[in-house]
Amino acid sequence: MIAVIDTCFIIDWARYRRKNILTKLFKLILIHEEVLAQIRSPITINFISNLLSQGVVKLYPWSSREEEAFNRLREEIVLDPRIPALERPDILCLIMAYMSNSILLSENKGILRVIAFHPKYSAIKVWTALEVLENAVYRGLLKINDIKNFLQLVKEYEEDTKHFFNRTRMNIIEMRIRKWLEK
Amino acid sequence: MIFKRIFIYWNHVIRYSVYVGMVFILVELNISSKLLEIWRKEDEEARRIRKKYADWKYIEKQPTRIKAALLYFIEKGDRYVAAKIAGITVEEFDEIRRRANIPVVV
Repeated sequence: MIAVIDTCFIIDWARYRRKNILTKLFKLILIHEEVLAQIRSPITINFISNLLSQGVVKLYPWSSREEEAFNRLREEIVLDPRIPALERPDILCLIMAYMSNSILLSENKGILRVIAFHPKYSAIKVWTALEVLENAVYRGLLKINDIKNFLQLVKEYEEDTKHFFNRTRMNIIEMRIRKWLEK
Repeated sequence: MIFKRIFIYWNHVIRYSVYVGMVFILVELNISSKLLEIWRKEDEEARRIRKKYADWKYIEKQPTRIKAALLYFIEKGDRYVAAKIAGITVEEFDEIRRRANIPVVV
């Protein structure tokens, strides 16, 4: 699987005790240089530079065709009251995920809202850390015996990153995990 | 005669196209208002959680720009705009957010 990673996701994920599962889940993670430029803390810089040196993370070669797509999308969403403020790097990641047919790793509410209604970009799969944990379980990267184990994994993530997941999304994923455990 | 028939046929095409268009618009508006309602509830829940966990003593002690940014983040949950208010990068703001014990809720 290939993923595109955005700033909000990296700065949270770099603080997670099991952050290394990301490299086992994805064979390639694309990053935009503008996203890289937003990273400042030693913990996140070390995490990303390690992944870059391992070849798991690669800089995305941005093109003029993608810049045009960015301008079009920006014009569409900038005046839409449904969308919270979206910065240029967030929109770039959305375009990258669309162009490279990859999973977008993002914790950005605005991005989740764009894909909820946009006719073109709703085809993109966006995973927050919650979906990453869920898929790590499905692929056997994180072992669980029951739903409590999974909730413990989520709790660990919340403790490490001070990042909570909304109840509706938690309920949906809990249900999917329960079904998977029953199989 | 043929022109009259074409005219009548064309009128029907236009009329039904308008009806279909209106139905699409109504369906779209309905989906949109439902989505907005779901998002409003989500935002409300997230705001309540951020307020509950925030270390208010820490927030009060911060310089004006940082305090304003933290208060904005509690209300809106937007790290980018909050960082802009504080005049720092997103990650620098995120460090302060963590010290203020304000969770991100997504």
